[in-house]
Amino acid sequence: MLFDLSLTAACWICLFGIGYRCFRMFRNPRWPKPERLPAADRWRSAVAGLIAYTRGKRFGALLRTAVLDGLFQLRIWKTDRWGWVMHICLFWGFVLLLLMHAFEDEITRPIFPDYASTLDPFLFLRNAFGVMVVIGVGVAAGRRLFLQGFRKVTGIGDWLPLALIALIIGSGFLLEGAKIVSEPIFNEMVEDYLGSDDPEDVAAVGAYWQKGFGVVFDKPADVANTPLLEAGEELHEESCAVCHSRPGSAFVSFPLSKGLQFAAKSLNRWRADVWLWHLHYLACFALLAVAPFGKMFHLVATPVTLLLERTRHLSDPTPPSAVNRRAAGIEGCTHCGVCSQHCSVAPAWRILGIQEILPSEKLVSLGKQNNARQPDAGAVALLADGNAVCTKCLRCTQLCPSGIDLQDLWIATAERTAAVGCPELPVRTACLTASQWAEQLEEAPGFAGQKTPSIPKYPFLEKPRTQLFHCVQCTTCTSVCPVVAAAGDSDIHLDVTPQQVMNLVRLGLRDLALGSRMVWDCVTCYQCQEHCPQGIAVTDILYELRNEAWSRIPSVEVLSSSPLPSPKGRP
Amino acid sequence: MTPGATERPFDLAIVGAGLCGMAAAVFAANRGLSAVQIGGTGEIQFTSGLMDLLAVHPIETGTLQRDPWKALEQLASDCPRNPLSRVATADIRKAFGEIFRFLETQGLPYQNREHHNVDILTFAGTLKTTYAAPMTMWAGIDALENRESCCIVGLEGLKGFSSRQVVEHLDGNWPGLKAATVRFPGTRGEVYSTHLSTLLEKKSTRAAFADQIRSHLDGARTAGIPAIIGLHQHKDILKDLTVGAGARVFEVPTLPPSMAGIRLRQAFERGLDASGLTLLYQERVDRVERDDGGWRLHLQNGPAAKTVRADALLLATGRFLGGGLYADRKQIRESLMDLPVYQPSQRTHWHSRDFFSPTGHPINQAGMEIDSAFRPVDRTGRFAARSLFAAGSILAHQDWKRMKCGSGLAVASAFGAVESVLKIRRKRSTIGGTHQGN
Amino acid sequence: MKYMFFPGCKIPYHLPGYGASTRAVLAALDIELVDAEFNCCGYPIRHRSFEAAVFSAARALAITRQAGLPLLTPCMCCYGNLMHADHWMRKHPPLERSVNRLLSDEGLEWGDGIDIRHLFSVLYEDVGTDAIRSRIRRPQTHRKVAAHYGCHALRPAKVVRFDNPLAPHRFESLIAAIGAEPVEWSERLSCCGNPVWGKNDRLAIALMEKKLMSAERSGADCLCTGCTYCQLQFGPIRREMVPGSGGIDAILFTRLLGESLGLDPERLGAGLPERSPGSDLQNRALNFKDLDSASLNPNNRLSKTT
Repeated sequence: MLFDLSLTAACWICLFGIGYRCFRMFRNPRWPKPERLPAADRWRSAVAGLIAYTRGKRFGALLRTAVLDGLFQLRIWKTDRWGWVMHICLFWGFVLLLLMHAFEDEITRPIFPDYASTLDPFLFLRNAFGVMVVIGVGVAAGRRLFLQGFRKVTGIGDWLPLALIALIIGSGFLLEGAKIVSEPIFNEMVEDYLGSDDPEDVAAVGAYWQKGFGVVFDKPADVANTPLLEAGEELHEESCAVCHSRPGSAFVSFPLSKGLQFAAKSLNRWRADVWLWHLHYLACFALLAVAPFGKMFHLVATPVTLLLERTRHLSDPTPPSAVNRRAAGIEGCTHCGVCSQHCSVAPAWRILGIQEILPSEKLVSLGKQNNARQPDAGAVALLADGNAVCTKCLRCTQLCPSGIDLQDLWIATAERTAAVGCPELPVRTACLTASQWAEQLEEAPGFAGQKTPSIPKYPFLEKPRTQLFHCVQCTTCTSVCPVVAAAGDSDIHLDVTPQQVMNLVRLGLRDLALGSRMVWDCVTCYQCQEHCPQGIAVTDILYELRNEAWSRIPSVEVLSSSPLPSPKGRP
Repeated sequence: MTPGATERPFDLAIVGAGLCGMAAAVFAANRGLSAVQIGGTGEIQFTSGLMDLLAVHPIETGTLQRDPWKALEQLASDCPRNPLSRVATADIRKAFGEIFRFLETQGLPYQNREHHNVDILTFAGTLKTTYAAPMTMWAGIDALENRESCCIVGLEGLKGFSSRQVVEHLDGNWPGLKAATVRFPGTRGEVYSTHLSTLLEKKSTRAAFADQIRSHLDGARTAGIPAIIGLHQHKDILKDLTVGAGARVFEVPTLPPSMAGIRLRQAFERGLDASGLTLLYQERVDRVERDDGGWRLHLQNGPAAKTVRADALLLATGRFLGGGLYADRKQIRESLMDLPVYQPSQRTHWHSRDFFSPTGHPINQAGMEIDSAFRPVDRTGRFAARSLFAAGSILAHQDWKRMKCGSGLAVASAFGAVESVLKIRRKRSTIGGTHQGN
Repeated sequence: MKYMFFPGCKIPYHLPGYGASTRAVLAALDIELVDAEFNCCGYPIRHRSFEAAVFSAARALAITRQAGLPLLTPCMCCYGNLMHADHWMRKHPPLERSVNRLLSDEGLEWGDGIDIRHLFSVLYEDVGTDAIRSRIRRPQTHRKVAAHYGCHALRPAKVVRFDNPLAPHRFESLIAAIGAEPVEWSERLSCCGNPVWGKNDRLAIALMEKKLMSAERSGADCLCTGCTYCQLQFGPIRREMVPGSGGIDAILFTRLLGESLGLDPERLGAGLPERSPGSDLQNRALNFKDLDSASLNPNNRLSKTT
């Protein structure tokens, strides 16, 4: 009753979840690029696309994807050997348990008419597949706990499926163990199959099973009685052996049952096997129900993204096809973290701590923006901030085990964040004049260099007086500055010159320097520093002023504060 | 050419990249010495580009000397301790000849009147007495001598150069002189000479600027403009401006950093680089230690070239601005090796009461004392080391600013020092040869 | 000769031809490159955070140190920032300690004495112009080339130690070695404009055009680069920002060298895309087969390229 009810509920929830995710995929996207396309067009395009895969080159790709990426998980093998071990164990262990064990009546028995779950090789295999899954879960958990940086990006969405799988397998093994020691089950079996209700026969089989199969009786049999055991063996061969291999084949559950023996009597009394059975299938159905709502949806989406990756050179760059591909990419992420593990700018993340620098987290944030009804200005600002650090080096795209075209998403995100008023600080600074910035900075927290940061931040500005003591304001820096020159012979606006910036810093008017055009339009060509007759690190100081501004003007403020006027003098 | 790649010590290490260091490097290269030159940006770019030999002697009277050579002889008898007195006049002549030839091959010809100093009009409207000037300025010297009709063309937005001030300052001393101010084609706001000089490399800008000059000439046969005539193509630019304006165009020395100074520095750097010398510009010597009869120089913050070894060491590190000398609370010290410095006995005697005293201050005469071979000596006259030399403005008993002998001091002492290096090497190899013979 | 190859972030997607031609040319000159999974050199983040830039570079240097090989990068900006970080790690003990503490989490350590080289330094110092000259099969005598020195390799000289910062000659010597004629031009040491591109585009374009005009006036028929960012600036960014702009072409030195060594244009990356780091999405047909992926094999930290 409970079984059927929960199964039905889980199936419906799962179907609803898949439907919802598909609906979400085919809804007009909000991020990274808003599109307005009739859903029918996109469905048509998707179906036509799928049909195209039944012929020619694309069919070859489909086969290759199915065999290489599906059966052998080649893409994961290429990027991440431990990840491959983890995934192959989880995937194959779980799939085989599902086919052989969960669907024993529908699949296994029709194929093997002699099938019995307690018979070798099935008994052995069930334990073996279970162990595979356990290894998979163990590797996954270990990686998430101990790999550099992995832990920080692992959330409830990652732990929940792992926990459910662990619960399923754990309860399975425990259930099997509990069944082995169970007197009530023994009695039921004897009743059904022994073909004799003579108490002596029952006692003989009981003694034999107590010795060889680990059943624990409330009143233990006398296992030293050889004739009794011999009689038991005879009866066993007659009635039980057809369905029962040696319990040693259950190489996990049997030792487990030995471990349970001390408590076996109470377990039997409370019918722990029944409770564990409920727990076991309820865990399975819970996984079934939550799967489509979280990362496990990748079972649906990732085959698509993998297929698309294999045929990327054939893909149609126009909507609706392109829109579909991008949607599949956002939905197809398993949050496996490979991208962030290998991310080229991960060191910057370690220092700056902005999660959105890491591709996996950027994608999470992007997905949230795409699904949110109301745009979250703070989140968008953070996304823009993190994405600005990304160098678009393509590595994550090349390594993504799901084959998602991340590069395309990052570039599109950059364009979008710029368009919605989240340009990088260097662009934003042009919105206000230096003195307006100075006013704003009055309220901002003071110069961070005065504290003792984890890594020294400002080797030059820490001691502006000694650094700039020798400046004689000779204008050499200004006269060799290409920015000053360009401003002199065009209508590009420049407020102060390098030597004036140096003087402002020396006078302690750093806030006034921070927002000046000279600081932000510096091309870092080091001409000034190289030419300075007094050995002043002019360029390095300009660099540090930008660093300081960046740490004092939080990017989140931009969207929440009143809209800024458009930058002056820009195309 | 990799810094520090050579295990074999250099014959000579020159510390300093001012005019003296550069001149010493030229002399060393011409004499086949393997030399390394180490130094920062140097102060050449602060120079006007003019080369003074000796224009004032004695300082006390401030007498302007027409003939520098005669003045040198006078100086030698009046002040034998002055470094210029330690080099024979003929050698100084030879040294300048060598430098001028070097600069000419680098496309920066200088001109002088063999036997007398010349006067040149400056940005402030004063007249300065000097020995030699770059070709681009020479027409101005001619024009001044002959009081030719001339128009000084200033530029809007260029600091430190006012044509009106130039003319007014001369106050009728040059009747044919008049002033004009133009906006340099294609610019606005403040302008800087380096930028203008690159703009002039464009032919159309040159033509437009020449037109502007012509429109203000009003019959003048010469035109003076600030020193902005290019870095590389100054000869072509000067020619095009002269043809375009229809008057002889010349540069007026401007405030530092001046194009003429930058041109001079680049000519040295280009030429020395081609001569095969090892140049470690923008390096600083951290400390120096004796090394097997020679010297080991530790460079600051070098990964590959932490040390440079050389048989002989020449200090051309300049005075206070260049960093060769520094003054602490009590005394003046030599920065690199803390060598003895000749100076007033106590700080209160560094300056005389009159700040603008025409005769200068005692501190101006401070510096390193040397022997006849340009080796630093202590009070007793003993040299610090056989192979340690010093040259240029770091030397004592001179006041190059008031004597207007900056270039003369740099070139002459560099020459004297390098010749001494050679002499000592020759002596040593003769001794070595004798040893071998034995 | 064997070097760790540090391509930098902008080669794989934006300028794969530079990676391909560098590999081809160095292979032809009997130089072996070893690939590793490096992180970003830190140059792009330096505007924002000195610590992040130094830590990024130090991590790359620590990986190099582990391999015990010198590092070779074809990008002048990467070179500059790696040298900067190395300099600061040496000069600033508190910085060195805190960076190494972070690195030790990964079993890495920065230490003094890592040999960081730009491609040109390797060509000029280790291979030598004479050796290059002796291998030239098709001298580029028809070319007049304007050498565009990248700022970040050249200055500040006491940190980057590439060449004489005010009168460099190495690039011209290399150009002469392949039989081409290097021209003298006034703007050769100035900035290409890329550092402010995307921040102040007008300024970026003004600087770029100034350089191009100066090179053209000097009689050059091409502008030659040795830096990923500079080439992106004069190549795809120019095409995007100033469509239809005339002016001379910008060519990577590795292409010229490869041509004169008689290498197949295919191997030099002919036909590979050059992508502006912000070009229109519609125009970007992705084809990852054309990309430089040899450097992206993460499984073995040290895998050899053949």
